[in-house]
Amino acid sequence: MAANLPIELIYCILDYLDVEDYIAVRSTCRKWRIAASASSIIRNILQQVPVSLPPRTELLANKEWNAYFTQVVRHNLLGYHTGIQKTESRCELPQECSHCTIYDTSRDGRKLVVLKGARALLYSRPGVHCPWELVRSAPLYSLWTSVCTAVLGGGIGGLSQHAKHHIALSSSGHLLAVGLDKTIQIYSLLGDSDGLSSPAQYTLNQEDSFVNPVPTSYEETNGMIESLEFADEDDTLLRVTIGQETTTYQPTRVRYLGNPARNQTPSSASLAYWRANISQVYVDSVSMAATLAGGDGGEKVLLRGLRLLPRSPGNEHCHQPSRKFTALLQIGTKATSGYCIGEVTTTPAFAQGITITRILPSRDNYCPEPDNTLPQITPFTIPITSTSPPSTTTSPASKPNTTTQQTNPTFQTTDAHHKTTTLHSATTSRWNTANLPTAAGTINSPLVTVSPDAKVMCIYEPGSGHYSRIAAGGAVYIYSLMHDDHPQPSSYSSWPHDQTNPTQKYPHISKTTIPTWSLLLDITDEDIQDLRVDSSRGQDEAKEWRYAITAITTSPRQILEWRI
Amino acid sequence: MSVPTLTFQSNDGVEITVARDVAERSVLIKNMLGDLGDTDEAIPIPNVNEAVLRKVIEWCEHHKGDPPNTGDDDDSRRKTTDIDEWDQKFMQVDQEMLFEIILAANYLDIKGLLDVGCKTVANMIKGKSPEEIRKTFNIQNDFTPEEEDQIRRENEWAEDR
Repeated sequence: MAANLPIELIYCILDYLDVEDYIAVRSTCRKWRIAASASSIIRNILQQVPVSLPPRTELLANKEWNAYFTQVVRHNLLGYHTGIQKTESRCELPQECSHCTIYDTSRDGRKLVVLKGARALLYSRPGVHCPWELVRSAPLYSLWTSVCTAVLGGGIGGLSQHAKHHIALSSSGHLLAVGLDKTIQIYSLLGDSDGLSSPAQYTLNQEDSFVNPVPTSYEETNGMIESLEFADEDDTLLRVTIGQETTTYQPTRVRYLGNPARNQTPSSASLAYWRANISQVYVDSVSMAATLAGGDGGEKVLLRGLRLLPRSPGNEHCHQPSRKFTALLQIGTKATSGYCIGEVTTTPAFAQGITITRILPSRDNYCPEPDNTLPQITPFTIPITSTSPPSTTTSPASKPNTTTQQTNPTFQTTDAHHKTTTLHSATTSRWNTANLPTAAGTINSPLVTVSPDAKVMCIYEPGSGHYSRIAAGGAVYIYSLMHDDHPQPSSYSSWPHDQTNPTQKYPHISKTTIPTWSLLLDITDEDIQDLRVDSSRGQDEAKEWRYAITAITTSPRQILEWRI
Repeated sequence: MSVPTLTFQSNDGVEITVARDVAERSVLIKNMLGDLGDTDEAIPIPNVNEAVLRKVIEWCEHHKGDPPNTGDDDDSRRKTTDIDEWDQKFMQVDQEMLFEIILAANYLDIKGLLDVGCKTVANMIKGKSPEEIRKTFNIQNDFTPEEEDQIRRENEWAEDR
C-alpha cells in the first residue's frame, strides 16, 4: 500500500521526516528512493542541517544535490545512531595474571605482554576469541637495576608513591617499551642476547634532541610518564603522554619519540633503530603550541591529547616532510577551543611549520549563526530539577564521625538525571549540542584516537556528560574525518557564506562549508584509560559493522566496545 | 430553515447526507458547488468507498469550525509532527484505512486531513531502520544488486575503492 502511493503523497510524507528517518526511507524501495531524490525534497531536508545551501533549488542539478547530500551524511555521521551495538566484557587475561597485572596488547589484539617481576611474558593467540598461549618469557634484568636507580636517585619525594610501570607492546610484537617515572626503556622480546643486555634508554628532560629546533618560548617538561604507545605501522615512533607537569603548559603534554626518516630497513623498527633514535623528539605538543602562539608573548595556546594521524596509504614507508595531527586546541584564557586537524612539517633541522586546517565544532566554539537561515540547533541545557546542591548537613545532634558523605544520594540522583538527559537529547535531536564535546579549558587530558584509515576520530573527555566534572567516567564522541571525495560543484562558491570566523586571529583556520558534527556515542561511569578505533576492513566477520571503538576502563578493568 | 445539506454517493453505491458547511471542508466540493451551483442530486465520489467516506466526513464534522487554511505555510517550514489528541484517536485505524484516508483527502483536497494522515505515517517511520520500515508497511525491497551496492556506498563513510 505504502509503495503504491502517488509520488506527490510520498513527497508530503517526506516533508515531515527528520534527516535520519529520511535516510532510512531513501533505502527502503525504488519508488520511495526516486521520490526522496528530488532536488526540492533534498533541499527541504538539508534545511534541518546547519549547512549553507544555495538560495534556490535550481542552482544545482539534481545529481549535484544528491552528491551534496551524500557528503553531508558522511561528514556528520548521519544514520548511525540506530545501529550502535554496545558490548561489555572482562579483559581476557592468561590464567596466571590478576587484574592488577600490568599488560598491553598489540593493535590486532593477538599479542599480549605482561610484566611479571623483572620478566616480560609474551603471549599470543590465533584469534581474538581464542585462549592465550605463552610464547616466550624474556628477563628484563636491566629494568630491575634501573628501577633501583630511579628509587635511589629520586631520593625522598623524588619518586611519587603512585609511580608505576607503563608498558607498550609494538605492533610487530617484537619490542616492549617500559616507562617508569621519567625513564623509558625499550627491550627486544625476540630473546636474542643483544636485546637482553642493553635496552634503548631515554630519560625525560635529560638527553632530548629535537628533530626540529624548538621556539624560544618552549619550556622543558618536569612531569612524569603517564602512558606509552607505539605509533605507526612500523613502530618507528613512540607516543608518550606526560602528566603532573608544573610548567606554564601544565599539567599534561604529549611527545613522540623517534625519527622515522632514519629507519633504513623497510621493515618494522628494530632495537638498533631505537637505540640510535630513542632520544630524538619528533614532535612535542608544547613545542608545537609555542610555535602556534608565536614569539610575541600573545595569547597562550595549548594542545591537549596530541595525536599524529596515520600516514596516508601508499606512503607508509617513505618519509614525508609533514604529518597531519589532531589535538584539542585551546587559545587564550577565554578559550576558543575545539578539536583541530592540522599539519606539522618535520623536515629535520628546520623550524616547525604548523597549519591548522580545520577546527571541528564543539560546544565551546559553536556560535549560533546570527541570521536564522540555519535552524535546528538546540543548545544543550540541563533542566534544573528541584534537587538542591549536595549539602553536608551534619547537625551537631547527629551521631559524630559518621561518614555520611561517601554515598550522597542527592548527588547520585542528579548525576543519573544529568546523564539520561544528555543521552536523550543527543539521540532525539541530531543538532543538539549535547552531541558535541565540550572542549572546555578544564579538559586537560582528553583521549583522542583515530581509525587506521584516518576517517573516524574518537574522543573521550573525562568528566563530560556528568553532573560533576570530577566524576569518574566521561563521554565518548565520534567525528567523521572524511574529506570530500567529490569536488564541490563550481556553483558552491557563489553561495553567500558567512564570514564570521571565530578565530580571526588565526587566519589559516578556515571554516568549511559542510559542518562535521560529532556524535555522542555514550557516557561511561568508569574512567577510560585506553581508547582505540579499529576498522573492520580486511577481517572476515566484517559487513555488519564498519568500526569498532574499544575502551578499557581503569577500575574495574573492563572492555567496552561499540560497533557501528 | 433547516441546515442545507448535500448527498454524496460512494463508489460502492451508498448515499450519505452531509451538512453543506461540513462538505465544504473539501476544496474540491467547494469549487464544484461554486461552478455548478446547488444541486439536489447525489454527488458521486468515484474513488472512495463508504467506510472511508464516513471516516472522512467524521473528520470534517469535527473540524468544521477550524479557521480556513491560508495556504501560504510553505515558507514557515520545519513542520512539527505533533498531532492533536482527537486526531490521534481518529487515526487509530488499520494501515489500509489510513492510506485510503490519505488518498481520499488528497482527492477531495482536504488539506488538514491530508496533513494529519502524512504526519501519522511519518511518525510510524520515525526511528526505524530501512528493514523495519519495509516490515511496517509491507514494502518489497525491489532494488537491483547494483542499486543496493550504490546505496551501501552512499551510506558508508569508508567506501572501498
